[in-house]
Amino acid sequence: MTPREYWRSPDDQTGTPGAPPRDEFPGFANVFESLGEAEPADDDPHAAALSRRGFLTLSAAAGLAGLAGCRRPDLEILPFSAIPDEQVGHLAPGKPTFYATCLPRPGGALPVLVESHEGRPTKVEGNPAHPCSRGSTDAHAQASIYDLYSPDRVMSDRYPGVMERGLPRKWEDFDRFARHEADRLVKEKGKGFYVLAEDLGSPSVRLIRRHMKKAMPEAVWVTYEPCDTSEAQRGAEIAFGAKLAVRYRFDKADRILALDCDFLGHGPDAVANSRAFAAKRAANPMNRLYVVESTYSVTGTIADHRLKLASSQVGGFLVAVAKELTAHKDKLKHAGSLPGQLGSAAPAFVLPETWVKAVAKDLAEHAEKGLIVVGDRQPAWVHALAHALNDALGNTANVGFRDPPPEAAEEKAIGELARDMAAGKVNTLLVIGGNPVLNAPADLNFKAELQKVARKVRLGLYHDHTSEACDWHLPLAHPLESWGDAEAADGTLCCVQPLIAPLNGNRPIGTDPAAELAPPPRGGRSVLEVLTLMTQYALPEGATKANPATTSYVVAKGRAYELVRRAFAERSGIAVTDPNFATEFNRYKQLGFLPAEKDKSRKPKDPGEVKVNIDAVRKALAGQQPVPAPSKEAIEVGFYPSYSVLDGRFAMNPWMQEFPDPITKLVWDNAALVSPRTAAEFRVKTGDRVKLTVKGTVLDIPVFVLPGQADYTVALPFGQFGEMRISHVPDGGGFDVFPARKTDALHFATGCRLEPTGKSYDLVTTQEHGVIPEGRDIVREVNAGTVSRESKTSASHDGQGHGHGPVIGIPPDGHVTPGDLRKGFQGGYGNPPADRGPPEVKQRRFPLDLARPELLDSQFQWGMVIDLSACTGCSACVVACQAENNIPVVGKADVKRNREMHWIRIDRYFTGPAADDPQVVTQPLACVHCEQAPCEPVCPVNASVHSADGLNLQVYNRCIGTRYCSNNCPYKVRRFNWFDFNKRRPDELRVPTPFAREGMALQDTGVPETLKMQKNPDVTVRMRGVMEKCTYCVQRLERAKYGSKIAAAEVAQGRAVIETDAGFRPEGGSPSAYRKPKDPRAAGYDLDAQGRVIVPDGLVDVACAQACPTRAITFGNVLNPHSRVARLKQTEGEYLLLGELNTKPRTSYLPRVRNPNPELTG
Amino acid sequence: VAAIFSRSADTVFRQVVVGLVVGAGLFVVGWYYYALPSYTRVGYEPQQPVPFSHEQHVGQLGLDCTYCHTRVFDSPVAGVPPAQTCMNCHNKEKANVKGTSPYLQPVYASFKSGLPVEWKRVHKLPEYAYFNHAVHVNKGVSCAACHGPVNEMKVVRHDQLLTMGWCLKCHDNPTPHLRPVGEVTNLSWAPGAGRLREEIGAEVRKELQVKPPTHCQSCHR
Repeated sequence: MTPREYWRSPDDQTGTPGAPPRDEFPGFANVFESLGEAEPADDDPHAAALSRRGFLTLSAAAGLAGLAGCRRPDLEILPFSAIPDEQVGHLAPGKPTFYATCLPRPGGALPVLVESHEGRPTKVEGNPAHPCSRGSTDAHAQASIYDLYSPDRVMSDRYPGVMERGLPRKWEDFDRFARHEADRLVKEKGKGFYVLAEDLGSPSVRLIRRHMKKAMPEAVWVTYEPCDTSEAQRGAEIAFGAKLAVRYRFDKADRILALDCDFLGHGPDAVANSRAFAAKRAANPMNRLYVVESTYSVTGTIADHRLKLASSQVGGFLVAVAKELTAHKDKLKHAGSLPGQLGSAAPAFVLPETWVKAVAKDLAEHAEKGLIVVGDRQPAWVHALAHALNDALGNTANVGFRDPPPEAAEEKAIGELARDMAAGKVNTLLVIGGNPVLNAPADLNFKAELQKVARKVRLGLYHDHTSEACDWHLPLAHPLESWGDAEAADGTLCCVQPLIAPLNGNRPIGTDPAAELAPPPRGGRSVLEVLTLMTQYALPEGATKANPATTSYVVAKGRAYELVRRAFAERSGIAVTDPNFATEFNRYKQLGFLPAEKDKSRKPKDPGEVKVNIDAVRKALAGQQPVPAPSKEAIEVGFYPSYSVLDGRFAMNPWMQEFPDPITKLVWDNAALVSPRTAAEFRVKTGDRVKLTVKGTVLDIPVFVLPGQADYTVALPFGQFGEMRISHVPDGGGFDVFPARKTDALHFATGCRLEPTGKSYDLVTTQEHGVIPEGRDIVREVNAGTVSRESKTSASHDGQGHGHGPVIGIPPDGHVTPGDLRKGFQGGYGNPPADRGPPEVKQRRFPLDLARPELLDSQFQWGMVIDLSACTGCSACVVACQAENNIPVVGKADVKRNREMHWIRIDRYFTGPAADDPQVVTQPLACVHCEQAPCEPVCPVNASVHSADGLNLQVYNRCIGTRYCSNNCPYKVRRFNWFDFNKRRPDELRVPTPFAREGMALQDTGVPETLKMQKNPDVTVRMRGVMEKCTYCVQRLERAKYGSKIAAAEVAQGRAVIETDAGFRPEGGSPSAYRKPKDPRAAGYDLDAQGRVIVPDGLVDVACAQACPTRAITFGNVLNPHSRVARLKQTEGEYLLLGELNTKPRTSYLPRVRNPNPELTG
Repeated sequence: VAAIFSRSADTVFRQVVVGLVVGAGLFVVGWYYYALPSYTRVGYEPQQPVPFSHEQHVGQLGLDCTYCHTRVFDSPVAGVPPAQTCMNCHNKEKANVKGTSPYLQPVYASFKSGLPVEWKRVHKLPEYAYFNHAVHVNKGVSCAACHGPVNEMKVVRHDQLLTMGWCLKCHDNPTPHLRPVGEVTNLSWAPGAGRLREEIGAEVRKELQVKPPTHCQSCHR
């Protein structure tokens, strides 16, 4: 049996014809900086022309200049003048506060907790109490904190806040305009008034709309989202006869067939879906996921079986499955829901027969415990058919249904708006959020039609394409700056509450207290604040009457808050005048949402009520004609939201721009993704620009060769602007593909042409960065068969090349199999897991560091387990780490030189026998905290040292930047600050000096002040010349340790009273003042067997583990036998990455477990 | 051949060598005196906007440290009191202790306007050092251990070195610096008759499991 091969890119794979020979040390160019490709080419505009000698001369001069020492400057301490009432007892400088709020997004808000340090929000976490988050977030939620502080939003010189036709204005000017305009609109019953909004999902906005209906009945509300879901909605309407919001329960499904559906990677519910899916993945028996899709998605990477199929053929595939299901009629619950006549929509190509048969059989055998899910990209009839099949299989119990809000039915689509604009029916247009000028379907000619509107007002987070085309640009307040509310994907009401006043880059602090009442000249306003102005929403009876001295800003703010209260009153059924209202409303703000059981007005539908209208489905199917399969002459082009910038709403966010795409690992750009075979036929390679003709529109875009892409299809991730609009960022910005996206082909277009142009473009991908040399046991895989991962019996080696490492299945009495290299070296945690026997008897630990065990004498021994079978590669951890640990962006030019600073990276490996249809394994990798760390002995200044807690520390104030540690690190997880990335803007890292055209900057030009506000004050901001790496979030560990010690001390001193365990006697230790609590988690501390204070498991988590939507990362104290991490460390198959090097990493991995269908693997 | 060096060259050379050695020596001595925290920090006694006397409030009136520095037992930062705290006594409407004193003008102004009193910061650790007050006081380290006899200071003075070496002295051997937690804010505490600080410290250390960390992460993150 040959070991299974893993590769990162087509070039990397051996045996590919024409592939260059492998480097001896692939991706090590960052270490040997002067060698190979990492040295910028001469014609590179960013090339440093400074020679080594010149540099040394310069550094000597700089050294002498630094000798001017002096006393420290005088610093001030500025306490409150009076502590605000709501913060008495909560506010403690140095201790973060957490507020529950939510981040509105199309389709459903994400409930979050936001960490605030002395009034500055610094980090977003999921709300553990809410079922849509359960404490997890996605990458975009993590990155949204940057948007709050983005200098382009709050302190750009080019866009000074409120603007009218390009000229700076004040909010008062707009107030005057709005009052005048609203008077007129009310008089004219709202004729010609259109509101074009993104999907706000806000009940309080619906209150305003109800008021609008009365005050200006002819006003029109238009909703537009580029990630269009109308086909899915229409599909549900066909199948169920009513507009229903559909939500799938993946925690109930054993068999999932996902058709062009990226339910783990995209959409409002991806976080909840991931959590639910992962729970079922870890269960016994495991679930099985079939994915049919045209490009590789996050969902595809974790699939057990993936079929690459052009999007236009997916419907045909489902028809084939439906036909096959008729053969299993006896197993179906409602065979009557099977559409009989399917002939006309039959696929026009040869489907893999075994696939269809096996999938249908598997689904039928798991009737009632399966799901067929279809992506928003597919036409309505495919959705309708899938609903019918789910009903036939009895799977509707795994689906949740809700009625959409009544206002949704009155909304118009953007196409109608464009027609009305062309017809001159639109006089006043208010555009809320979104960026329709950029991303409206190209055939609507939106920008040109917009010019026919007399008064155009734009409320937007950034001054973008749409703002430029409108008369008024109003800065929108960030959700963390404003009052509001939104519905989560499951329909629960979540509150949006401000953590900070609208940021205002140019307002002097502390000059005039009366200025507090004036509207900030630049600070944003919320949707509610502007809408109340524009619609003359009156203050309700009994609300605070506005003081005549206060400005309209204060009034609008008061109204917005009042609206949020009223929306809550309506949903909770507690009137504003009710004596309980204040308590309940405070509880709502504290929890962040209104629990579903307290929601009086919107209930989920009973699945029994929902009936499939099979005739309507048949009718929808009857009209379908087979779509010819894509060919070389007629390429299929698919449009996908980008994993990094989404539909463009994160294109102004450098964190998301530098976020390596989970699949392609591209940064700062997008590209046309093609399969290796298609690339070979057109004789193009990654980076070659091609001419792509989509329905008459020509795009000039570079290709990226992606194994696993369906042949003759091109995937175009949209959202990039085609230019870099982030100030001070010189490169990137990708290619704008919206011009090719038209109403009749919003998701995919067939019959397109591709021609090479012979030009090329510099695409930067991190997929070859930090490569661990060949032939090492990096990723392990195992097939589940019938044995679950947690089982005591060994999972058998399947003999198909899966699990290419040592045989999985470790005898329960020992840690490793005979013959495993680790046995000779790894002390490990060679004890049976806690649940196999009383921990106090069996718990023992080999000395962690064999050489100097006395160094690891702490009761805290931190460790991590990463479960590869749960990791989807979504990369939320990467951005979570960036926000938590003050990690800068470096820019495209420096990522190209392997200088990205992310402490955790997701290695994406392709594997499998077929080079153009591989499977994917994603492996998160940060510093693994070796107990025998190779980086430590080579540091000449002792900057890389070990702690008693088993952490491998990097001491920044000792580091002199020799980079020996990075050279010696086999995992390639250390990051070096080549520049003062935290002190300088990306475009000013290199400025001309007398020695070089683009040398090293010697003066600080400074980063915008607002960006400094985002920094976590508990983490040092590193300077140039310093090595850094994952610290296991040591600031959180220390906070947790202190917290537990203080909690124990409070009990010991009688300042806190809890229930304690009187019978506890520490082993070997003398009695101390500390008492063992009965409920350690509630008490905030625990005592270990020796009577030492420890942190109870689950009270501390690292940023990556906390963000992870699938809980693939588990962190904790491995010395605590009750901890989840200690139990996972005992799991069969747990392995150490590069364990044979005797580094004894604290981070270990669980293998990727796949659950293949035996009928498909043969 | 004519002599290249004059007769005096040797002397000059010796003088230069001696001069360099002496100069270098002076530089080192000067560096140690002027550039180290013992000179740059200890004794720093800035004038505060309000001449608040700890000597009077703590030493004479017996106010407890936590009356003003409220969060010291549970937060990394002890906290500087808001003007509100001063106004509990120095308030015309309330206790009216010197309710109109001109010295207290900045406090009245702050309380009225909502803008902070701009106190001068005396103790400052480098940005990369993270000190936690709460864990120290909860383990029996007195305020006086780092801040000196504040109850005797009319103007607060930087009393101790607060350098890493100084910290580590106590972290290596905390026993003489520990006292019962109840006495932490009693700045004039002394062990009872016939007892030694070490004795009491050893008891406290055992009871509170004091094991001061000496690895880098405890202060540098």
